[in-house]
Amino acid sequence: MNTAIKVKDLNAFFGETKVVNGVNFSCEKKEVLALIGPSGCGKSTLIRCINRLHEETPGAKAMGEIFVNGENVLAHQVDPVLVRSKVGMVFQKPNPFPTLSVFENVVVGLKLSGVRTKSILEESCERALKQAALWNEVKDQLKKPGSSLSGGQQQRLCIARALAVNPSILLMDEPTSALDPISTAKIEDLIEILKGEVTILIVTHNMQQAMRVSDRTAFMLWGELIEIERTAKIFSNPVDERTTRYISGKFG
Amino acid sequence: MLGVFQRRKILNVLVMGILYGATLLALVPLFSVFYCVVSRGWPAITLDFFTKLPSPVGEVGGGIGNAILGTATLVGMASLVGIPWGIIIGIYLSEYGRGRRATTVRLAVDILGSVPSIIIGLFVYTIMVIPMRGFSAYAGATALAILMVPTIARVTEEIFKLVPNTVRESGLALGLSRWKVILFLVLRGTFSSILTGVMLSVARIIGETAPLLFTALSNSYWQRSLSQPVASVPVQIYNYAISPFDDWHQKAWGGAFLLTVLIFILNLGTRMVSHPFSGRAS
Repeated sequence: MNTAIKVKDLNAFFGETKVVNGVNFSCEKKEVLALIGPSGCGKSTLIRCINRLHEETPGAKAMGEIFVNGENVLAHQVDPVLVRSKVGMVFQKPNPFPTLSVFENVVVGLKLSGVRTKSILEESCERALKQAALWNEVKDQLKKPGSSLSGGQQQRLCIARALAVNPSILLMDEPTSALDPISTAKIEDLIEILKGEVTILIVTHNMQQAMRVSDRTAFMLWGELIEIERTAKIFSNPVDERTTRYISGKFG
Repeated sequence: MLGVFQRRKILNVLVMGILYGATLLALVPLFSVFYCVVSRGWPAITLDFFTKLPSPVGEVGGGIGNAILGTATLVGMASLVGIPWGIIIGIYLSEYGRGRRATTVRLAVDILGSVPSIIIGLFVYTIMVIPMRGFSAYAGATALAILMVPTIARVTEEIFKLVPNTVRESGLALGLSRWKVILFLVLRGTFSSILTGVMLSVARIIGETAPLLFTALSNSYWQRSLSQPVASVPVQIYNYAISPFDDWHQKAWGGAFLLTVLIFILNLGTRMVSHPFSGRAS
């Protein structure tokens, strides 16, 4: 069983509007899969279906099957809370909890899930911050508010926060679109390191970024998955004409 | 060109004059009330005023210590029930309230907020005083708690709606259940703002008289049991003010002074904490 995510006939709606239309693909364990496509094409909605965050929006629903590590997470009897503890997420804008310190931000997921032992929390905090390549920068300011860090540091703090609960999959929704080039490079380096441990699905508008960080790339348009291919191939020799036009900057 | 310019200038002065005039007109009654209450109430403020029981008819001296204690008891008990109750309704409206049911609840809360307080008093009289065969602190506090709920519920709802949705989403994305996200992540940043609503509602009920006449009534002695009538500052003011004695009139002014100062402090406190997210963040 080497498939981390398998999406079958996924349709997602906001009210009556269909935003994801019959999408099928699968993703290997420890792979980095990039999702590209013009704004509003359903990329974010697609990954938000995987951790069932999509349904938290009023009027939103998803139909079809998504297997995470072999289990259909869209099935009715599946508790979304359990899905989300296996599938972490990093958002577009860095969003550390404004009232919590750096330390509390990292361990909040564990703490509120019932972990009370201080030594375990401290160890997890250090491990997650090291994984997120932030430890050296913040180890002396763990008590400061998370919002006092710079934008790039805040985003790595959010990555550490997601990693602290030990997910096997990490969803990243345009994680660098609010960051400067240096912070972006740091996040990209981080993805390179993290892919040894977790499966990463990254939504990006930046095609160079997709080329730099991903093993495979999927191109979406109007809610449909047009093409999914090895990154090197999709950017040099795409099959579908619409992919060619998007990649060469003819639209989107 | 000059004509147009001058006309604008004159119009500007005129409109500004109306604005300042209207503001002044609103401030005059406020400051007259202040002046009146302070000048007549201040002489009544002595140590005895806070610590002694009302003196018997015809005797000078004494205080309204029992009424002050009674008001503290009633407001305290009402807060104990009304604050969590209001906050819970507010959380429901903001976090769970969708569709027609929520609209109904919201409307009900708004209507409850505009029901005259004397009607709330009569209601509690019917459901508590009559069955329990007597006026009591319990009944008084119940009436006050009902009066607190709408303000606190609506303030809580508005404050919760100001919390960015990203806070909820990132909490949920960590695999936390909804109630934990609300209780430990959303509520946490809103404490100082919710305090605003709490203080406003306390300021509102602290001077309520009508609902207490039907529920807590009054008492000339120190309260001994919560199931008995209990004195309160506003009711004491009322009783003293309609009496024919000068000494009692002065005590009524003293009570009015005390209430005014308390409400003033509460409103000032509200101002100081009322900036959302100013608490500890930033």
